[in-house]
Amino acid sequence: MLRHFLQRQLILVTGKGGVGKTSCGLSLAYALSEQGKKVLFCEIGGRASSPIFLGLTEVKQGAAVLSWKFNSKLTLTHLETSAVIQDYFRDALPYERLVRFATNNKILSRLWAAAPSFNEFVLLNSIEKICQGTHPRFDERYDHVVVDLHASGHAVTMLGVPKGINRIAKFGAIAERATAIGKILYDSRRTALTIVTIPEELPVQESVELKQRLQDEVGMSVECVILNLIRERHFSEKEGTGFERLLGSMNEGSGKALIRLAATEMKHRQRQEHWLGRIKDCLAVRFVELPVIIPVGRSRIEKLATVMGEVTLTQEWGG
Amino acid sequence: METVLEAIQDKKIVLWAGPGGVGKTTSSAALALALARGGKKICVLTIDPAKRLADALGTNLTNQPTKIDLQSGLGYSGEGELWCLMLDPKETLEDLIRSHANDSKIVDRVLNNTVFNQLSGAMAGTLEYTAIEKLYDLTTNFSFDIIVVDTPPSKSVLDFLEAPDYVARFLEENIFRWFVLFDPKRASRSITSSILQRTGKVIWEVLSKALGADFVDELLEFFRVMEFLASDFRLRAVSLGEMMRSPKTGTLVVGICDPVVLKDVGFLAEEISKRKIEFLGYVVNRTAFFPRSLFELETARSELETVGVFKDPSAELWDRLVAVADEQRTATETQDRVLDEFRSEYRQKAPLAMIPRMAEDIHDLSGLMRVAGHFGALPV
Repeated sequence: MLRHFLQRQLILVTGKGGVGKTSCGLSLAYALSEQGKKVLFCEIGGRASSPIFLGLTEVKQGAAVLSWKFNSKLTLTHLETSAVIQDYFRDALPYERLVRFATNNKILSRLWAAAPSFNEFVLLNSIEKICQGTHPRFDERYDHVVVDLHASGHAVTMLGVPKGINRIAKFGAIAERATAIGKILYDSRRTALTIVTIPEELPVQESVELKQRLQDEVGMSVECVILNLIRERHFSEKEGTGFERLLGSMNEGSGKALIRLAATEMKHRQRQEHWLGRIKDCLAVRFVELPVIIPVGRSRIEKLATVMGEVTLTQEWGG
Repeated sequence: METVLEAIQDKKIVLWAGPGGVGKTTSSAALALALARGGKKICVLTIDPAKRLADALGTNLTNQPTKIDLQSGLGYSGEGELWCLMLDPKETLEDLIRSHANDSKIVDRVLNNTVFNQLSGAMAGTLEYTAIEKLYDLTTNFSFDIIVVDTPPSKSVLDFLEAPDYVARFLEENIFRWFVLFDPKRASRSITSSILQRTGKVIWEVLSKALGADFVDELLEFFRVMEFLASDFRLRAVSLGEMMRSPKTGTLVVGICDPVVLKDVGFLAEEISKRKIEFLGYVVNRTAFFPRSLFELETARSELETVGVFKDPSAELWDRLVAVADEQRTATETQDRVLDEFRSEYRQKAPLAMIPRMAEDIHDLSGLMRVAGHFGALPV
């Protein structure tokens, strides 16, 4: 599966909340770094959770934490709102005093907080600069930049911002930047957009809608869907029917309790298969299936990356 | 210790907060159903429910409350009522603008403004603010005993809790007026103070350099039309903030038993209290259960041999059964440890409900009832 991603510099990961976007995105970044590529994994907004959770070493720039090292090839960073706003002004304004004014002035900072889409825009601006190798804080050029986007609806909104700005303004600094961002973002040869989901009802439905919305509202296509938390099946259909029969006939006790566990397990698997079948019928994309790996932490990331390195994309073309 | 159900009895508004994908929508509907069955008039405000949940409630959901038929769905014929609505942010925002603008020309100017049209979905806090606005409408124009609110899938749940204050603060600064004041097209008429003029000049320099005159023009038009609405909006935003902090409003924080998610859950509970919104308790969804008390592997084996499960060819079926039992036991033990750690770190005495992982998707009212039963129970 890695070939699909090895050909793209910018890799965007989205999906419903709670499906494991961050783990899958980070594992993908790690798998690419194992191919000898230099990779940057970006978390955006809110708080960065994975570096702290994984106990990674900080890389400082002055007093601020710039990034964390996963290994010699893979770096993690958190693109935090106030920092990307500053990045934008450093670039757009001619001298530092004006930059300080733009970010510290009370009225202007309220404006940046309130202007529709400004946060999304400056974030994409920084990502574009990182991809180009022209970002002042990340001056290295990365072979791959993997971005852990917001959940579904927010990701659609964010990805549509450069288009929206270009529809409003044709000339001026913001219009030029929006065009530059669009050149990378909306080019499917340079950017891969992937959805992570799990084989359950709501995540599957949301993924199907999400792919459609990305196509209709932003004009971006999803070519690969990562199916996370796929569990192995322990029992056959016939055994499953046998369990149901036993549950009807046995007296309560340890034996029946064990069969009840097995029957519940069976139901979970049937439901998983139902939703796997459903998503494969609904989406004409390539799928990657990832197993459940316990415990959480660094070893999970490494194991998932190994799986990603080994599996070939299953090509499924359905209705 | 109190149960979650007891903790919310005297509230008028129950907010559900929690990270995405932990089952907020389903559990909030189930809680509403449990309360309605207790004889109260309940409304559940949901943001983006799965179609199947709407089907489960047996109705099409709109931006206005619809009464759910508990008689034919559950055979319930008591006093209690369950109402449900699904937020339509765009409709709510437009209604809000219409109700505040006394001039239909202004409504047209707002709704036709390019920035509003192209980017209003991306306007900071729009979804959150409209949800709270809807909630205010429900509290003032209807007579529900309790309103259960499924918070929107925010980038951060805190955005939701902060939305009214954020909007109020923003309007307090009268930012629209400032910008219009600095607008070069009006500058000659309205700027009197020279300090203002100087600041205004720098602001304009920053804006036109950083954004470009084209975009600033459009943005200004947006602010100009919003200025008409500002003072009314601000008063409303202040009332919304008060409603959130009222002793009749409380928050449940929902999560699943995963160490990363529980960290977020604990953090949220703390942040909610810091914002002076009452924290009511935790709900942990999709918990694992291992029937330790009625489980003895050797006994199980002999019982199953008696009913003839392991007559050849499949003694290896036994190995698979043991593997499944082991998996479940490990999962349950890990869960108990994680939950114990969580509870020793964050508010040990807070009410907590555990909702076990269901073997079937929930697609009707009786499915919701199976979830509902757990809110009145103490954690095991």
